[in-house]
Amino acid sequence: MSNRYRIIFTRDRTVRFVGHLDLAKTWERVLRRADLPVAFSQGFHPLPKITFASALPVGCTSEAEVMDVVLTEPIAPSDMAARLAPALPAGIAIASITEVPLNAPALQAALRWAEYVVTVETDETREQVESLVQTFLAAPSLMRERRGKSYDLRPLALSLIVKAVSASSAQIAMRLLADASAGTGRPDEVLAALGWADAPAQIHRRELGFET
Amino acid sequence: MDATSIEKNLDRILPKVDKPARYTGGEFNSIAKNWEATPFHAVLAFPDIYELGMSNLGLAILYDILNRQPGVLAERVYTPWPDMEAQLRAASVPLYSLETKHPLSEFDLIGFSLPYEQLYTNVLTMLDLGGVPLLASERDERHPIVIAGGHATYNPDPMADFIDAFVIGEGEEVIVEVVETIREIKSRVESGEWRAEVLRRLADIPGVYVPRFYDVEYHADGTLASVTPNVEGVPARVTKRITPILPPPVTRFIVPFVDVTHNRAVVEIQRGCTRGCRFCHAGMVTRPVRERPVEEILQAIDAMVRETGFEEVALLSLSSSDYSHISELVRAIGDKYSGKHLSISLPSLRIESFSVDLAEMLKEGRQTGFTFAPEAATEAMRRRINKFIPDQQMLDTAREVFARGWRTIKLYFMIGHPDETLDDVQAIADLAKAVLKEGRKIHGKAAQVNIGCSTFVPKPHTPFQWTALDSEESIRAKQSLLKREFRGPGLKLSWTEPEQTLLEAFLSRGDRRLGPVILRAWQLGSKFDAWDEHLNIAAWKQALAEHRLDPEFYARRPRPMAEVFPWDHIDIGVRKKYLAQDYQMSQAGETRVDCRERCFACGILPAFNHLRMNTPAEAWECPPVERRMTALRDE
Repeated sequence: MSNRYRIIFTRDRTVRFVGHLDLAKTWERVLRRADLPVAFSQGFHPLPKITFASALPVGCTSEAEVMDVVLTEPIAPSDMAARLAPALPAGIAIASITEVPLNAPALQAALRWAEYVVTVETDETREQVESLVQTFLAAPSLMRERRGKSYDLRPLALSLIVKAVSASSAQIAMRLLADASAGTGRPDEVLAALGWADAPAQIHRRELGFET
Repeated sequence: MDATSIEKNLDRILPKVDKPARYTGGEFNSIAKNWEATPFHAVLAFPDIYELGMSNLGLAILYDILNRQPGVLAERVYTPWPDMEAQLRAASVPLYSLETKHPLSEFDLIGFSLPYEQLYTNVLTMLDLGGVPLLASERDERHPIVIAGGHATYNPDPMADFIDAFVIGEGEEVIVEVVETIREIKSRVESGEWRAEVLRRLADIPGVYVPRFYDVEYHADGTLASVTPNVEGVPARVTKRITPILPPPVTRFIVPFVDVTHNRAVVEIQRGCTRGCRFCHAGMVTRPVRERPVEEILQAIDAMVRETGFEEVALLSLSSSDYSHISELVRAIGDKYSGKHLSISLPSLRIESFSVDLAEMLKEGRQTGFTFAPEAATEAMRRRINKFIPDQQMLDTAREVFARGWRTIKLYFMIGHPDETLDDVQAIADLAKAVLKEGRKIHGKAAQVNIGCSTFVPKPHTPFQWTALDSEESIRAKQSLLKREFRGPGLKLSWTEPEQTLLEAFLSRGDRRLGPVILRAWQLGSKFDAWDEHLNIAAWKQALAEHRLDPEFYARRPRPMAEVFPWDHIDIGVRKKYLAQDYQMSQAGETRVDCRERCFACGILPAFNHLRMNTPAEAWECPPVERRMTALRDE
């Protein structure tokens, strides 16, 4: 018998430089410290059954990371949370745990978009920031290059909204496509296209959107 | 710059460097005490990158011990990779501790681990970046006390210019005494002039060597004449420290976020080695052999899995097969953790079929290779280095390994043993191919033999300390023979670059005159010398030449039996006379059996008589000391 649990967790500044593979390894160890009966794949090279919805870009924080873990026996989500709490490194915290059907669609397949709130250091006025965003949204295409490959960034940005502008920073909410087949937008690429390639920025993931 | 401004600067710097998580701290089980509320601040420094430093057991032990002391905090710092160093310098950010981001200069104590010589220049980089004067003679009451320990410090004098005090031997007890001494004096001396008294009192602690209290004299030919105390009351020879019984093992290892060299928890099952291999520095300096009880090891593994969540636990020792209860231990671990997705590694196994039985009991999931260290490929050479096994036993063991499912065998050899010929090196190739042939009979083309071939460096405090490093011409000839022989499929060779070996040789056999050379080489840009892509031997040669020193003098000069060595004032407990006798036996092709079978009176027992007498018989592999003998000695 197996049971599948969906964990939503947060990542703060402390762990913003931990890459995705390192985070996966960290979770394996967290689950072992919590002494939870994680199911392993069969075969020559058994791996723990842990899956993540989406890799968080290095340098970002998040309040909505989503992962699924399969256990070999049932446990009440509240008990699970209690066992995980002391096993977590500083900077990672549980937001919620729910049991999901074993045959629910894979997280990565169901993921559609990710929403970020980006705070970028800039002295531009509200009007200037608004105009940059409008120009971005009005463009029919925005060709960019990443790791030697050319791609169109524009269709990957579903929405951009200016939230606040101060004398030294601007805050923009962006909903970007995060779709296994249609493509994934990166918030730092959007910033670069807006003209802030090198400006210091804090990027925070607020929500992941799934097909329901 | 204070901790808050360092944090702020890091926000800008870290996105620009490779693997920034190495510089953030915050790992599970790391300990960040309140700086203001803790009176004594120590930082443990490993002079190489984070990935290597995090795999160092010695520092993990000291971190655990110091942080258990009330009123003491111990933090960590590693050498920043050159990209990070450049960013720190550009932003004028000092090198800081990972836990609370304080600059090194604000600590009371900086403790360097020096396991090998090629990281000496990184010590200078770290002091410099940390805002601490490089030279011990230039530090005053505003600066930390800088100490160093680890295997390289059994010959401390090459680093004497930069280190205030060396801790010789095992650090578990002495580190606490060092901290208490500094703390007591700093809180008592009202004038604020604490430094001179601290240094003098540190020299009173057994096992602590304070170089400034010793004068070195040389003969006209450049050899050492004497090392003598220049103040009353400091010992003429500093005897290493040992702990009579292995202290409880560390279980709460720091769990790194990033992949490090060894992603695992470690439990030391035994310290010291009774084999007596003549090239082996560790085997001589870590005597006597002390074993950890099986029950303690099992409890430690249990605690490690719970407290770290690591997927691997390594059982550490210089020679696992020699641990008296190895079968019992391995069987118990196998029974308990089988099917739990925990891999247990058991390095340093003897070349015999019993080792294959042991490894099989621990086999879990994925099978990595099987490693053996024959060190030499002919029986005559194995006799000379006192690591004797018959050829047939090597092949029989290899066959057994392949037959039980392993497809890869790794063999460690050394070239450049005393009086080695090209025939001895050819024999390495022949033996490796014979092993591969055994593998092919079972696995066909999937069989693989990896050969790690380092170059022998005659190390201080070993029976081979009188011998010379092989000539560069000879090393190159031997390496090209091996490269030629190991071209085919199924064989892979790795070797040590001769420049790397030369550096290791003259630094490990050097004297105090190397201090200015290390400083100059560092000024010329030397850093990360243990990394082939960084080592600039020309800079070292220039630094030596500027100080009228010759690396060959240190590395390649056979030394007369009567010569005074730069490390003779450091007492490892093993007598020089014993080492000399063992060297002569080597030249005659004579071996010594494992000293568990018969005591050869190496000197370790009389050196630590008092400790041995108060230790249970089974705690040491040396024979118990009778009180009568002690009485005779004291008379």
